[in-house]
Amino acid sequence: MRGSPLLRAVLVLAALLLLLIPLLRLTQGTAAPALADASPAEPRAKQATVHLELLSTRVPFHFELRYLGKVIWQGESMEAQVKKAVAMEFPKEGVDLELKGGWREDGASVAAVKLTVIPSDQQPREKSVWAQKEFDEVLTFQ
Amino acid sequence: MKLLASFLMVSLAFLFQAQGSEKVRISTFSTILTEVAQRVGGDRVKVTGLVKPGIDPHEYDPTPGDLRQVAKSQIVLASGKHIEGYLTKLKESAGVKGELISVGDQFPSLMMKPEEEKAGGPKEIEDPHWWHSVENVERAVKIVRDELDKVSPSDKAVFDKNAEVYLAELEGLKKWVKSKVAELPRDKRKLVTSHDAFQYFARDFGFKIYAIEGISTQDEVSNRKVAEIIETIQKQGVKAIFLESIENPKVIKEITRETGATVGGTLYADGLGEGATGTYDGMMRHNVTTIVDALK
Repeated sequence: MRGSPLLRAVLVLAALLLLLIPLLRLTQGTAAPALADASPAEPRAKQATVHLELLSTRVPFHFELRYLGKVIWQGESMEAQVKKAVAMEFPKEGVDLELKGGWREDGASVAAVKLTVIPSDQQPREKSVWAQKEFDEVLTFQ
Repeated sequence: MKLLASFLMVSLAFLFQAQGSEKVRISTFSTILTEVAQRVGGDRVKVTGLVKPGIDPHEYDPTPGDLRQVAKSQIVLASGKHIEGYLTKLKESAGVKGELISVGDQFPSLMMKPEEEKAGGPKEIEDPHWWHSVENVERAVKIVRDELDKVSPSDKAVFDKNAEVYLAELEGLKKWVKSKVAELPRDKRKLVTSHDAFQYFARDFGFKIYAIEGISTQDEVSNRKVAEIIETIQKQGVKAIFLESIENPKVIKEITRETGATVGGTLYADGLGEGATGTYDGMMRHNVTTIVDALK
């Protein structure tokens, strides 16, 4: 190869720089393109007002309602129906609510409690639990 | 004459006692079924667990000693759903005289795609990890109880009582699992594990599974699959991913480095562990607590 030594040095340097590009891509891992293409994480559901209703076939009854392990509503009622509005998330996958409670007296037959969940701007969803004296169930509303 | 009669009576009494104390010999190929057999059989059975805790049932191969043990068993309990690939060969070579029960084959299966579809191979295979559903273990208890009742009818009352106690405990466990899982929002129930073993659990408790491997720990993990998982973790906003007791965690560690997700802990996917996870109750509580606390 002829030409000035300076020109040759520049050409060698350029060739080395060109080689560096694939080398950098290789050392940064194969998963990088997939990461660049990944869409942002799906946003979580926001808190909104959810109306809750409990209807018992026997009174008085006591109850405790848990969402994500925390008590969101509890009490004892002489009335068959009680209502409350709470602020909570209601994602499209639904929610699990743990309903515990019971009646002071054993009845001759089983009694039931119906929990109605009404997320804002959505249709009501209902689930019932049946028991003799005490109940403790996880109810899924979707 | 009187002496002879007494001698005969004593001999007969000894004979009946000896027959009564003879335990039912059971061999099992699953740590879960070892517990089920012991709990239901109580002191009326002698259970030999051939697959020990910590051994990967996907890779287990019976030894000549195991074959001898199987040959002299009255009941042989296998997990079924094709996890024991050696079962047909075992029946022929060990000369199984007792009942060979493939417990998992007696209740419905979830199906899944094999990790790599082979030409002429099945498009779907049965998921063998049925014990991650407590309801399936309850079914297994009833199957083992009925089999023991058949093999040793004189001990039926003992087996039925033991099964009743054990089933009540399993109901309690099921309730606890439901309550614990309810602590986790349903939109965060995304499980990334190092092999696809938690379908039954996912079905029962509303989880979505993203397995890095396919069905078996023998499967190789492809770079394409790892890239897909990384993309999914990013997209779904998964907080933690899980290792397994028997797994090489290298791939998972690489994924956490790329995504920023943490390692949520070690799960027992293929059977019981040791210590606190050496019982079905302990294993389930460990797995569920690990999953829920890491994803919260």
